[in-house]
Amino acid sequence: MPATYEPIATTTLTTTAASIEFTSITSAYTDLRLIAFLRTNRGGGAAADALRGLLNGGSSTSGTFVNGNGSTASSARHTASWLFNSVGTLGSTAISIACATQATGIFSLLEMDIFNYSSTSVNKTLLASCSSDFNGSGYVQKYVGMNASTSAITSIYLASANGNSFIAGCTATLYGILKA
Amino acid sequence: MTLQNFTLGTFSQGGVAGGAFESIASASGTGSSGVITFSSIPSNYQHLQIRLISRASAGGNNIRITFNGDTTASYARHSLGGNGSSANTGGQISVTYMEFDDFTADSSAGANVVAAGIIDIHDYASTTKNKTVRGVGAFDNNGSGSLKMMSGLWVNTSAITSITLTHSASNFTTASQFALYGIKGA
Repeated sequence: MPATYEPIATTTLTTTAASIEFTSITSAYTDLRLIAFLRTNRGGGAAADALRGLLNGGSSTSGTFVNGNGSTASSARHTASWLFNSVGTLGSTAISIACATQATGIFSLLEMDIFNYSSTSVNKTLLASCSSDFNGSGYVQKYVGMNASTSAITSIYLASANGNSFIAGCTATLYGILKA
Repeated sequence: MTLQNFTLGTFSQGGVAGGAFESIASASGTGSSGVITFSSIPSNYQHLQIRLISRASAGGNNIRITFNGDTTASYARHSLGGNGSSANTGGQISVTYMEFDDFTADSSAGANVVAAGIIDIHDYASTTKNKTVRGVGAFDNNGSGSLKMMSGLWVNTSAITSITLTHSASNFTTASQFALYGIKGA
């Protein structure tokens, strides 16, 4: 029997990559938890990059954001699309992550919990937090997503919404949490 | 750990031993009750965490939390959240329960939609500290939805031995699942 809280898989990039993906996820747990440190190579002076993802390869996730950028608190939403929205507006309708504009060594922290991910009787609700502090700018964001499918989650895909690549040093670990 | 008062909902005891994060117990909604209680909670952990998905049989989006059967005006709570249009904040003091908003999807939500939440109770077994609680709960209904970050306080230095989660207006459906975990200190 699996342990109550244990790592399923870890990805650490040693070179740039267009995506980070977990596939063939076991159904043995109750919840999934993803913890990732992310930064892309988006340049051009962009304030940040936008993150998007897919669950089971499908774009049927809608979401609600709560955002803070150091001066304004806001809330926004997107209807069924990619996880975290297809593109969106930084700090509003997009999960905003560090890019080449930021000083070397600055990454964003993404945490995401997917509840009862292997259930075949409920749509999948997930809670995510993204913390991006760039020492003078940044974003703190909370997100609730609803994947409108009762299928068990077997894959998670993350990528830049602007077609950029994750850089070497990005890490992502998927954990399984098992209830009694 | 003994099991008591679990006639409401379907309850199981167990857990996989080992590690700092252990499963203590879990419960399911029945559709005919709006109350879930974890009782006889052991004192050998540092913190507790409840992880849940929840849907109500009728209206109401909130879960009310009480400890050790205390229903006196000993609770406070504050919230920061958003509804997809604007951010919001609120608070209550000296109330008879800690109300955590948007931890339940109600029956008007689309089929199979559930809210999700995580509730952390820190130093729950301390007999010198009042109890601080942190929570995040939310639901999204593809065009509507709400997310809330909550803080709560139980003005009582007793160790927590039971936790009662009560729906604010109706019952927890059978889709509702609640799991209690213990987090060990060093």
